[in-house]
Amino acid sequence: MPRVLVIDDEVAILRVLTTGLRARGYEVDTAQTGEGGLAQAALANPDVIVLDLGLPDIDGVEVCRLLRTWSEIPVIVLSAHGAEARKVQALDEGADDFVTKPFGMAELEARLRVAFRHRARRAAADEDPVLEVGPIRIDLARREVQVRFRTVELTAREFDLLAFLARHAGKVVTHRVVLENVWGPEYAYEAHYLRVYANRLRKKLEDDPTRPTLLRTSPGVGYQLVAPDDP
Amino acid sequence: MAGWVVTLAGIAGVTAVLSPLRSRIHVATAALVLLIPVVVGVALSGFAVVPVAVVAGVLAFDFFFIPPYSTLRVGTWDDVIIALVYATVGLTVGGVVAQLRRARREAEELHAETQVLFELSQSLAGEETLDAKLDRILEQLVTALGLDGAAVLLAGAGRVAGALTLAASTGAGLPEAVAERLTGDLDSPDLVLLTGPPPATVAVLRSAEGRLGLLVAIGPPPGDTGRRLLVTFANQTAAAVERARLAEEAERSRVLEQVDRLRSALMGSVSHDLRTPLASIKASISDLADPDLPLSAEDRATLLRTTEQETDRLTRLVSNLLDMSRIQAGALRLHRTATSLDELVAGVTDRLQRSLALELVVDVPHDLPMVDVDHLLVDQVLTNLLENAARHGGPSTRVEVTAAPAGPGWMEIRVTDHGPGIPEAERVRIFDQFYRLRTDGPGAAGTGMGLAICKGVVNAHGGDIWAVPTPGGGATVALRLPTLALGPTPLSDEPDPKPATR
Repeated sequence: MPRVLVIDDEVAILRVLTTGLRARGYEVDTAQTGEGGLAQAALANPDVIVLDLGLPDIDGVEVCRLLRTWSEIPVIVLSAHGAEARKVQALDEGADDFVTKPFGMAELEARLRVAFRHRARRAAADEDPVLEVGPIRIDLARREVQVRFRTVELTAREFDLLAFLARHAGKVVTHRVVLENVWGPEYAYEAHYLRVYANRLRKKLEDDPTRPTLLRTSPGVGYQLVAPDDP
Repeated sequence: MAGWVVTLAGIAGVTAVLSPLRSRIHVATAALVLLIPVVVGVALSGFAVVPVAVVAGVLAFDFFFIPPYSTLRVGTWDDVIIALVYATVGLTVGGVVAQLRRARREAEELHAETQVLFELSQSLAGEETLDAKLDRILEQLVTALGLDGAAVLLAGAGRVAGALTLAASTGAGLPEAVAERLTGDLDSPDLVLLTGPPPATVAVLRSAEGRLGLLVAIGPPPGDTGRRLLVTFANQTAAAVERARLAEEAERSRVLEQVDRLRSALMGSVSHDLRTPLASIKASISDLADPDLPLSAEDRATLLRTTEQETDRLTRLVSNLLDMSRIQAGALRLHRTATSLDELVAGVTDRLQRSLALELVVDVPHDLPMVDVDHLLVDQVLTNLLENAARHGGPSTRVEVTAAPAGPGWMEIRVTDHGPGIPEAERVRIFDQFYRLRTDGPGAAGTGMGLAICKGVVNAHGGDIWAVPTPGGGATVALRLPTLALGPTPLSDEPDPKPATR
């Protein structure tokens, strides 16, 4: 039974999330402070953490950073409208995904499922020279990509981009993180490169490039490579 | 005047003494001695003495010392030359001495002026406000020029032509007779003399941007030095006025900036506060509306209850926002009714008991005098105070609500928590709009409106609200509301069941 740790200082939202997630079959732990949340993350060994960015003691972004110093537990950030910058900061600090308040429980659960899968996949794929995300198969050693067993020709840069996204499959990676890792630190703010390459990848990978199911865009934030059976 | 007398007397004296000896002394000697009264006269009275003194000297010399004596006829060319030399030397020496004398006088005046200015700037430096500075300037002007009085008139901040207002005056002030003649458009680069009575001299105060106002000196028209001083005082006054205006502008823009910052801080915290209950409501409802989700009856009840409570919270926040804007707009209209405090308090505590996890201890006797208040607004005040107590109460959830009469005409209500309390330095400011305790973290709930609304409402009732420390730790907020001004309440027609004597 997957275990979720919810860190939020609001009693009401904790109550609602606990009720809804338990009804969906999750085990739920809660914490109302950043300190408490970090302690719970170590003790309860959750499969995923739902983290509100506005905490009374430590800032949520800082909680992300501290958590990432010792743990790879997926983190889904609850962010407020108009706090885009903080959401991106949290993602830069290693958060996996975000949900903007107010949200429906179905939406939150969908993110949770992507995060679980991501965690399972990453645990398996750490040493593997072949990455698989849904129908995409990437042979890192031979730099070959297949979609549904059909080989796709990619340029070197396209391959690097796809490989990076696949290594972080299920996770929203910010423009800055992708650019720094695939292009190099001096390209950190050239988001238009990324858009061009993302569109090229879609043309080569997606069934319908205008309605992508594999490479999703989070407008103004970043990209997320997901298996299409992930909702 | 003294110079003339001395010179002419001197010439007469020298002539009287030397003329009996004229056959025994040289003509040139007589001429030299006759220069002495001229020089002395100039030293005493300035150059004006010189022409007359020289003419008198030459005449006396010619008449008494150049042969043929007792006529103005001249005997030899030598005598003519001596007379011409006498005149030239007399004029030149006189001129030099007069110039020295003038220079000394000017230096003395300059020194006196400098002294006055130094004293003025010294005394201005000690003053904070423009009014004080103007008073100081006028006082010193009156002393320096020996005036009857002085006044400063300033144009309005908007520099409306013709609109002058009296900003400061001293001594005899600004007599009506003078004021009448100060037309609003009076504007001249020079001093303007107004003939009496009483006579006055007016200097226009200027800045780079134009006329600031007028400096009026009441008294006889000043001399050269006085005029210079008056102009200098006018410049000082203009500088002081301009500095004050600039400071005022800077202060105004600083305040605007602060209001701007407050506004965006408010937007931030209000949007956080609006979104928080919305998030719970939306999440609850989305689960309740999901036909496939296996929710137990207990789960359903939890979600419904949360939705209801969070809706209440949202409602409170919205009414707080509305109250706040009404208080700010000065449009808070009280609908006063006779209200019994125990019912009012019970209404609030019943409503909040469930949503705020508080251990409420209420001590509001039902036989207290009624208060004359807008019960909806006072309900809001108590709600805000209890919410604050819940928020800042720390680990202790015990909160006491008490009410008791406080002198004739007033009831005092106290809401007491046992949390960390409020630092003394912040005890007054917590009632300011948007003020939040320093100890509140960035994510702490609260808009900083709650207590400001309480203060606005209580003040609108003529009452007062303040915070004190709770003995043993915590914060107590006390407020006073007016009791009903009428006689005994209608309920008190039954005799008191507790016998006074036994």
